[in-house]
Parts: sequence; structure tokens; C-alpha cells
Amino acid sequence: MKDALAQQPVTRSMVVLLIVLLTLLVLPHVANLSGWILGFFLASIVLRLAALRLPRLLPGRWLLGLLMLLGIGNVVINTGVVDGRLAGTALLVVMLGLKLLELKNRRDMYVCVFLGFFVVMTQFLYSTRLWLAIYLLISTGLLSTLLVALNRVHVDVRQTFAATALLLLASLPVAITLFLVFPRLDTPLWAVTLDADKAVTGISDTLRMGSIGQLSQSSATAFRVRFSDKEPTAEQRYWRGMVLWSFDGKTWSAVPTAVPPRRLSVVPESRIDYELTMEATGQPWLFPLEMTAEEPDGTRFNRDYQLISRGEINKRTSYTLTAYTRFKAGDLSQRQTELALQLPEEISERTRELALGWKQAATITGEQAIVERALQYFNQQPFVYTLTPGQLGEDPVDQFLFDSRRGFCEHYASAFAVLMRLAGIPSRIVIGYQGGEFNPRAGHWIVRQSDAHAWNEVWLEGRGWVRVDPTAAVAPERIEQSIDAGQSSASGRVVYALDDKGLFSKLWQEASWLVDAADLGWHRWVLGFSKARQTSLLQRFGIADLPAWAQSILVIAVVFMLMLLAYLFGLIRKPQRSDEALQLWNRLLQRLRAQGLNVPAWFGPQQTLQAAVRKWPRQREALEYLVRLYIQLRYAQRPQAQSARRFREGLRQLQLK
Amino acid sequence: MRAEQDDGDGRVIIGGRRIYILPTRYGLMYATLLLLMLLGSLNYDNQPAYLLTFILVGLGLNAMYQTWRNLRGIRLHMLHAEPVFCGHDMTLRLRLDSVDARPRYAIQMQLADSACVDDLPDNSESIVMTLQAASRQRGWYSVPRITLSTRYPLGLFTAWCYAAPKTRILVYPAPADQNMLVRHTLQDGEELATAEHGSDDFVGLREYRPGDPPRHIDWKSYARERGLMSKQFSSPQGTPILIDWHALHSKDVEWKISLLTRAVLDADQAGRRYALQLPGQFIEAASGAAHRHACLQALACFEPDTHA
Repeated sequence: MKDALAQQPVTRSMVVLLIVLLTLLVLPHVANLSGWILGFFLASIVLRLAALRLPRLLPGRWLLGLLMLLGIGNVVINTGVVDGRLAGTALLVVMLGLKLLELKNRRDMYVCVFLGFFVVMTQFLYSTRLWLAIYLLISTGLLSTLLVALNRVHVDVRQTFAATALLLLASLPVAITLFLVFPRLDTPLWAVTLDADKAVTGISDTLRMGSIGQLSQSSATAFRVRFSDKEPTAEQRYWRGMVLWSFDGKTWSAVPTAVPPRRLSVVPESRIDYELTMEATGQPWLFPLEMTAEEPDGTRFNRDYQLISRGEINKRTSYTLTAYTRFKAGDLSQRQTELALQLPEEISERTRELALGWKQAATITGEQAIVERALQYFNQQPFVYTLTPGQLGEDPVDQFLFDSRRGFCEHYASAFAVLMRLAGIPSRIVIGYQGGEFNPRAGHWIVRQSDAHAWNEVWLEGRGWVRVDPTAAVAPERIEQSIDAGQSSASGRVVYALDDKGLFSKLWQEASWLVDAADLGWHRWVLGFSKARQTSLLQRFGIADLPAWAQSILVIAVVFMLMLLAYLFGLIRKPQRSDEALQLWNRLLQRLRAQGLNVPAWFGPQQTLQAAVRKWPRQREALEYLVRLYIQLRYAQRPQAQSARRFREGLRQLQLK
Repeated sequence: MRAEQDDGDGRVIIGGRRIYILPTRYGLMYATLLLLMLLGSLNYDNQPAYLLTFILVGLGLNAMYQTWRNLRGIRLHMLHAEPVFCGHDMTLRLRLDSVDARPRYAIQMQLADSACVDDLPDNSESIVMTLQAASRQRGWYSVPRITLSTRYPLGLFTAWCYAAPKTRILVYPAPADQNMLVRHTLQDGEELATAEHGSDDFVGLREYRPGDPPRHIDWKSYARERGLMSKQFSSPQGTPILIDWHALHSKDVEWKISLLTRAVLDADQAGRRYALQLPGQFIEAASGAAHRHACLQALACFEPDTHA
């Protein structure tokens, strides 16, 4: 068969459009490819665009071969060909540039468009951000518009766009079905080494004065939480991270332990099920709700119920967890008692005296009274909760307690732990996050870096490790509300994310909620769609006993059968409409012919009408009415339902003599 | 492969069941691309890459359906085709519209080597497409099946079907060369030669028709860009000419037919009344276009075997 379209020339505007689109698709590789590769591509494009005016600039066959060698050399030198992904991408981009240089006919256009699709895919190997994905999918749509335009004789821009949009939309059911049920592999086909996005902010496993205060100025998302049923109250929303034991006077740090945790005794009624979605941190720590009892796959608890991933969290990852707000945690070994009472060598005299004074006063009332006394102290003395506590000198605890009295959560936690240890109560510091912001557009909680927090746990005989938050004694509103990172960093004052905001702020917040919802949706349904998730989805169809590949094939078969059915239904129904119109028309013709009117087969409705009116001038109106109805039934895109009935009635009433 | 048949009124409606569809070489290229992309997605277990791959798979499948749908429901209507003299190209004009008023794009029609492609734009509008076919034999030419095809929307698949309109085109016999006729006339008979006398009195101009002798073309009008015009002559005498098969003595039937055709054309050109005598068939003397057509048709359809 011939291809008559192939003889049509490729228009200049199509070439320009192709070049623009391909450039847009290659553009995000600026972050991934070396300047030499991109330079090569850019030079090819510039040359190609210049050749639109001066066609003799296009390289001949020999020069093109030479350029190809040059391009391959460029790839080899600049990628080292160790990383298959990088070398492949670079080669693809170079080849695309060269292909554009020899772009002449429709075949070349096709090859370029197909290479463009492949470029999109390589982009995803480097970054899976939602916004990049949206950008790339739009460009892909535009690229397919080009294909549609290539396959039309007369190109109407608006119509072509509309047709392509419909085409893409109609391909979504197949795409989504395949995405959901296509079997995933457990192991890659060939070895891959991916360097993940490195984290920029996040909590580390040591605590210095000011380290959390710095974090509080970032509104970046740390993790998101979706509760399946019951939600914790504001004062229960403590996201436990690292547990720190050792203090050298300036820095708190963790003490590594290989001992597995003791069973937690919990109150089953206080159970809370939730899903935690960590952002990529490049570190192994998770921040589960206090107190999470079971470890999900790929993680383990250490002795302090600190949940640690087996590898670094290099991409956004979701975990399904269970917490109990009422629990009794742990035991205290000899070694732990020593660690929990350990103190730096230099402790100022007045600090010692303060703690000892509390201890003596509470010999009868017990440890609980000492804790309350300390909290009272923070509450009643003029302590200020601030992001800018100022520089502290050689003995920060002493200076903070007696001189500056300005501090952020780590100052309070640190001073509190030292005081408790001086008073003989085993204590430790926990760092993590506190609070969170509910996103009503997505139904989940966002915990930001600005929610980073430090608090204490003290060992009380008979009660185990008990959480005490000295910051709450100074600034109870901190526990009720989140810190507004943007405003706090500007003023140095701690500004809370309160509800009474201006209209602009409200709109801004609404928008940021929507963005957050889209981002997590992208993660939940696309990025985080793992083999386990797929299995649980397929199990809902009640075919859990079959092997995974059989489940997938079964679902694909069912979906395609449904589509086939829908299509067959459309096939059978469609022609009936026009048949009905034709039948009605034939009945009219029969009547006319029976009354002796000569209506040749090639007469259209108008000619028939003219002939009939000539014969029966008095019936002109009735005849015109019938013909109008027929034309409407036959040719209107959506004929009115009553038209057929009216036609029958009109035909019955028609008086031909 | 089955073709869609004429409905009796010179119309062919393309139903869905006789449309054949195969991937084009671009379609094969696309399939290879998708396979590579799937391998890449599997290997890197990259979910957005899967999504992209599957969207493109969906696009391809949908394009297949759309290609088929682009052809289904098209209605072909053979328009009346003018008779031609053998050796000239026949021009087939077909009117296209659709039964469901959907627009169609890049519908290609092909008959032997002649192909054309066009969009069927809107609701009830129809377009006329033209195909050429060489005429090789006098007589009725049954239009063979026409191939309708399309690659819209993505060019990944080509859907085609065959339409067999029941249309015939009359191919007149090729007229003999003018000079040859003169020579022949001198040898074989007076009746034929009389046609020559017609070219005496100039009566006027009319539009050129294929078969008019070249020396009757009015080149002056042509130079004035009025198109090809033929000079018409008439003989004042109304005596009918008899164009007689039996007056020619030759075994070569086609040769005789071409000479008779030339004689008919010349007589008509001269505005004379003429009769045609063929074995087993006689057409009474008359003149005018209808008569000319009747004579030429008789010559075109003349079967020597039955009357030898």
C-alpha cells in the first residue's frame, strides 16, 4: 500500500516545534550531564536552526559520520562509561542532536519523537519529583501532538490539540491498569548503582546547644503521617528519634548498644495505627509516634526503642506502624544506670547546689516531687523561650541556668537532664519532632523540620522511663502549636503557626496544603507503589492464592475483556441510530412512490422534497416538516429523542391525494 | 480478503468487520521502544518510568482503535464518470462522507498506482476525491476494488479495507489517426470519405472534446487563454452518411473499429447526420451528442465473435 501522506513535505514549523520540544525534554538533564554533552547537543540544535535559513549549513554524510565519532568520543571521555545509566543518557542526548542534524523527512521526525520519549524516561532515572514528572508528562503530550499533526492533511492547531488530549485521556485506563497490575521484579535485571538525593536538613545523632534552633528555621517536610483511625492528641504527638545518654559538658551523644529491646507492656485500648512516610534523609533513623511497638520490615528497634532502618533512607519511603499512647517501657541494667547518671567533670557549684537542694527537700515525697520542682523552677524563674539565645561560653548549662536564661528546647532539655542526674534520677535526652500540621486537603499530618524538638525521659521506680518535657513548662504553647518557620527566622522570636492570619496567608496556606497533598499522592500512588503494595491490592480481588504473575495476567485479561465488551456494545449500538432514520425515510419514500411520485434512488431529501411539493403543493408544510425532521435525525450530532416519534406522527397525518 | 460491496445505489459503506489493520514500520519501531522502556523501568524499578511506559502503551492501543474507527462508517459514492477514449486516463470521482458525522483525517484512496489523501472535515460535509486509472481496452470497464486506508492518528498502524463499487465506465475505442483514415478512405469506399466533405463551412466554436481532430483546434482562442476550442463545420447538405462496417475489408477487427470510430467523430464534428452499420446492429441516421454516444457505445461494446 502506498503512503500518500509521505509525499507531503515536513513543514518548517513542525521542525521548529520538534526542536523546541526536544530541547525542553533534555533541559532538566542540566543537573545530571556534563557541560560537554549538553554543549554538543546545544551546538547541534543551533546549527539545525540556522540551517532552516541556510540549508547548505547542514553537514553532508562524511561530516555527519565524523561528528558521530566526535560525539561518541565525547560520551566516553565525559562519562567514563562506568555508570551505565549516565553513559546511556549521554549517548542518547548526543545521538538526538545528530539525528536532528540529518532531519529531512517524516521518517526522521518519527525517530526524533521516539528518541524524545526515551529521553523522558532517562529523566525519571535521575529524579522522580512530582513537578518534574508533570513537566515531562506535558512535554510528552505535546510530542504526541506532533505525531497527530504529522498524520493529518490539514492541520488545525486547536483541533489537533483537542484530539491528542482525548487520545491521551482515553489511554489512561489502560495505563493505570497496567501500572497497578504489571508484575514487578524483586531484583534488577542488571546491576545498578544509583546515587540517591542526599538530604540537606535533618536531625543528627548528637545534640549541641543551638543545633535544633537552626533546624527550626526550615519549613522543609521531615515526614508525613496518616492515621487510619484514632489520632493522638496534641500533647501526645511526640515523634521519637534518637535517645542520647552521654554528655561531655557541651554535646550530648548516643551510646551504641547491641542489646535487643525488652518487650513493651502496653494498654491495648490506646492503640493507634498509622502510616509514616519519611522524606529522603540519607540517614537510617525513623521518627515513630511515641510509643511504637512493632518494627516493620526493613527496620529494627534498638534497646531504647529507637526505630532504625536497615539501610539509609535515600528515597521517600512509607512504613505501616502501630503505636500505644499508654505503655510501660524498659528496664534499667547496672550499666544503664551508670550511663543515665553520668555527668561531665566540670559542673559548677551553683548548679550542684540547686539540684542537691531539691533532692534534700524531697527525701520524703520521692523522685516525682524532684521532677515537679525542676519544672516549677523553669516555669517560675524568668526563663525565655527563644530562637536566639545568644552565645554560651565554657559551661553552657551553668550560664543558661543562672545568667542568660534564654534558650530553645535543647537548652531546657540539656539543663534538665543535668539537674536530674545531679539529683540522682536516671535521665536521658530524646530528640525527634513534636506536633505537626494537619493538611485538611489530604487528610494527613505534615511534620516539618521546624517541629524538631528535644525532651527528656527520666527513670521513675515502678513507672519505667517517663517522658518529661521541660520546654512545656516554659512555653506550653509550643506543645499546642507548631512554629512558623518563615516568620521565626525573620524576627528571631518564636512565632507560632496560629490560626488568625491575613487572607493572603490563608490562601498561601491553602495552596501549600494542596501542593503537599499532590506531592504525597504522587508518592503514595506512584513512587511508593512497591511489590508489597501491589500484592495487597491484588489480594483485594480475592486471588491471593495465585502466584503474582498469574494474578497480574488475570487482572489484565479481565480489564481487556471489559474494554472489548464496552467496544462491542458501542459497535452494535451506534449504527442503529442512523438505521432508524433511514427506515423512517424509506417509509416516507414508499408513501410518495405509492402515490405515483417518481423518486429516483439518487435523489437526496431536498430533491425529493422539491419533487413532492411540485406534485402536492398544498402539502408543502407537512412535507417540509417531515424532511426537516429526517435531516435532523440523520445528521444532527445529537438528534432529539422525540424526533423519531414526531416523524411517525407526521407521516400518519400526511394526506396525499 | 473481502471487500465492502456496493449497496446498489453506487454507494459503499465501510462497516467495522472488513477493516484490516497492521502496524506500520513506525508501529514496530514504537513497539521496540516500549519494550526497551519497560526493560529499563523493570531494572531500575522506577515507578514514574513504568507510568510513562504504560501511558505510551495505552496511547498505542488507543491509536490502534482510533485508526480502525477513522475508517469505519465512511460512505463512498461513485460519481458519474465520463466515458474516455481508450488510451486516455479515466478519472474516477468519489464523494466521501460518513454515516455518523464524525470528522475523519487523512483518508487515503488507492487504485493501482493512483493514490490521493484528504481529511473529511466536518459533520455532514462531504469531499470529492479523484483517482486516475489507465484505460487499456474498449468496452465497459468495471471499476476494480478501491483500497481505502488510513494511518491517523499516530501513524503506528495502518487500517485498510477494500471497497467494490458497482460502477462501470465506458471506454470508447481509440479513434484511428486522421491521416490513416484519409488513405483508407481513398482505397475502400465513398461512404466513409463523405465525412471529409464536412469540413467546409465554419459554423462556430465549441469546447474541445477528446477525439476532436487536432487540426480543428482553434489555436487562436487557445492563445487568448480561452481554453481549447474546436472549430465546427457543417455541410449545407443534409444527406446522411452511412458509416459501414462492411465497407472496410480487413481481418483486423480492432483496426476496423478504430477507423469507424474516427469516421463517427469526423461526421459528428462536421455536424452531419450519420448512420452506423455494424454486423447485427444498425443505428439510424441522426446527429448530436446522444447519437454520437450511442454510436461510440455500440463500437465500444462490439463483440466480433458473435457476429463473425
